[in-house]
Amino acid sequence: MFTHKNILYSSLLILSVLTVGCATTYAPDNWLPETDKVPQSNYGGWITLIVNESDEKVMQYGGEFIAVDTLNIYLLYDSLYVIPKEKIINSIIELDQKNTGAYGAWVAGGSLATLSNGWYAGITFPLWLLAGIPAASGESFRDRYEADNPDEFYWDEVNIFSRFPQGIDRINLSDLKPIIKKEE
Amino acid sequence: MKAFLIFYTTACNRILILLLSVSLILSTSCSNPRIERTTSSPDEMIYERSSAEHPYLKLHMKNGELYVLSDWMINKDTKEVTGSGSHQNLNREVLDLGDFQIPLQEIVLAETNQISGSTAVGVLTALTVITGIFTIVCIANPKACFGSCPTFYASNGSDFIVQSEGFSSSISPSLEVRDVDALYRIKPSSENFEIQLRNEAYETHVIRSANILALPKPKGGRVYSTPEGDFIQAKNLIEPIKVIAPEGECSDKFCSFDGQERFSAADSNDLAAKEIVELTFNDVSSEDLGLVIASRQTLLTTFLFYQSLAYMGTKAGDWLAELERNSTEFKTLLENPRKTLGTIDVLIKNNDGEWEKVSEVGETGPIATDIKLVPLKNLVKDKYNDSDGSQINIRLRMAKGLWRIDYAALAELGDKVDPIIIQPSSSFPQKINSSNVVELLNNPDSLLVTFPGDEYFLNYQLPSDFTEYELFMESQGYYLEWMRNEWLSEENSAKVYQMLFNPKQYYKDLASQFKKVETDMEETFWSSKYVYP
Repeated sequence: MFTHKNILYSSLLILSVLTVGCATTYAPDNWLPETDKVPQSNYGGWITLIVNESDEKVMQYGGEFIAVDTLNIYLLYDSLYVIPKEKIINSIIELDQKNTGAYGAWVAGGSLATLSNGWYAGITFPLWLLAGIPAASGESFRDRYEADNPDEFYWDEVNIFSRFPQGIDRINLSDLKPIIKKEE
Repeated sequence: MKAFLIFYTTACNRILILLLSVSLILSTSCSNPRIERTTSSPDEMIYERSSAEHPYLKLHMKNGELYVLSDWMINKDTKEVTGSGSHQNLNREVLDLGDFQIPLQEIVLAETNQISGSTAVGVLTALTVITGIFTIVCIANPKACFGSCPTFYASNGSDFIVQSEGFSSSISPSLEVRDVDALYRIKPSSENFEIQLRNEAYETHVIRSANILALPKPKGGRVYSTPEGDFIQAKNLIEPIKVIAPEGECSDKFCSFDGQERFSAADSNDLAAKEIVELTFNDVSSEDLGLVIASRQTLLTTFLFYQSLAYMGTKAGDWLAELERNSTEFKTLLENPRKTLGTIDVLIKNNDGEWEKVSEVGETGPIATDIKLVPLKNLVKDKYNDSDGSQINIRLRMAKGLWRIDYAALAELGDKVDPIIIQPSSSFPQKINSSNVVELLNNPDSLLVTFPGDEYFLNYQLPSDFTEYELFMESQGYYLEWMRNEWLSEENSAKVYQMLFNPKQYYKDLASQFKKVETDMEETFWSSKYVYP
């Protein structure tokens, strides 16, 4: 039996669950294009790499996904970083901005709105939980390519999301200008 | 049992956690990609020209430069790509804008992106529409969606079912009453007896007491309360052999207390219009007989109550304050609409062969079916002899569409008995706002106030031979209905005065309005599976 008080508390809980259950975005605010702008975007996606520098040192690198070659991953932040593939223990590539926050608020608001459904809230409130939360949370996971200990298959798959999917054999990467300056 | 109680009271939370867990498990499976990127060498590109799905083409050059084109076309005959847009260097600085013709041989890779619709938006929109539909249904017909009065649940041996709704007609402090409802279908399994008290409506419930009354059952019989408040032992119940209502024979609805109820639609022109149902019983040798009848109201009175509050509108508080200040005068006025609508009149033929009212029965409230006994002492004996001598005929007169009758039987009356009053001995939760719930209920000078969503388990210690007792729920208090925004637009003091001073016309005027919602009101309320009668 879903009481109104439960719905009120649960809506707050939903926001908490969505906060915990949603995928984190690593790209700086407003760096990634909105989904509809991706077709004309001229940059690579945002790549976040966890790199095993040594037995005791793990580093995280993040920046625009520039290119992949046989041995390395190239990412651009305040300068160009060349990361050996063999040291990468986790990779995440994001392509666009997600509307998880807005959808989360939509789910919480919709759940609260079931208060106006009276006893039908016994139907509509679980529906919001069972369908609304996956919809909102799923938004944060879509178009996001993550792999632990990524292999060549993974890099072949995500290469198309780099700035230079054609490869860098004839590109002078030293000419690249960082989008994010060091002083920022 | 305590463990069960704790489990039961936390069931909502468990369900919630389960639903949230399932939701999170479903989350990753609901992350359908929206961006479909296609890359290939331009002469192998499966799309040859721009379209709504592929408005842009990106051409990656050997030196890292990029063309972003709209209105593009790949011409394999001339071996070039045409389109308008921008030409950018490897830092994505624009080198040139305009129309371009780029030879295929200069292009390393062509790229298009198709953006599909958002699954999340689709799902959330659908949920919003569903919620909106139910909201509209509830606004149009609020009582179909919200319960009424304090409800008491008890175990019937397998499930916790609603057994009683307390003081349904006590809508203000001055109308506080003591209400007794039979716990007819419950089967206590031990001396430790639990009742669950719930507030399931947009109401503030003010409860002075919630006691169990235990009365010794006769051998092979039961104990019933009468409309006058007495408790009488009865046995040898016989069901009617024939029941004639306006719609025809319907004895199957009256033959057992099973939720199969007889009810009718309200009159289209007058909500107080009466109908008659005639019950025929086989002859019974006993002289002291009574009519056992199990009934509850339809949602008609609920509609009328809510409509009255709507007519009071923003002045509802003033009206109720006036009721408190002049309670005696106002109570008399409130009797006018109540009497006009009436309860279930029980009629038996007198010596002249005319039907005569001997009693009335029926409690306010649409949720819990209450069972009462109407004594027919000294009246039946004279009457059935002048019919055909082998049958007893009883008529029930009531407002059309107002009553749902589940069971009727003739019973042989036994002794009048007095109840053992059993107050709650413990509760779960034990306290509310640092006050002990049991102390609040057991002290006649204190009150337990509950709000929507509140629920308590009350524990009672029954006599050791508890199976030998009939149990009743005795509650006392009143409740305050919460005003709803949608009611305020109908404020009309003249209609309130009409209800108080000319209820006959009031019920006629409201008939068409009620008939518009009557069918849906019943259907939606009960299909919501909020409670079972």
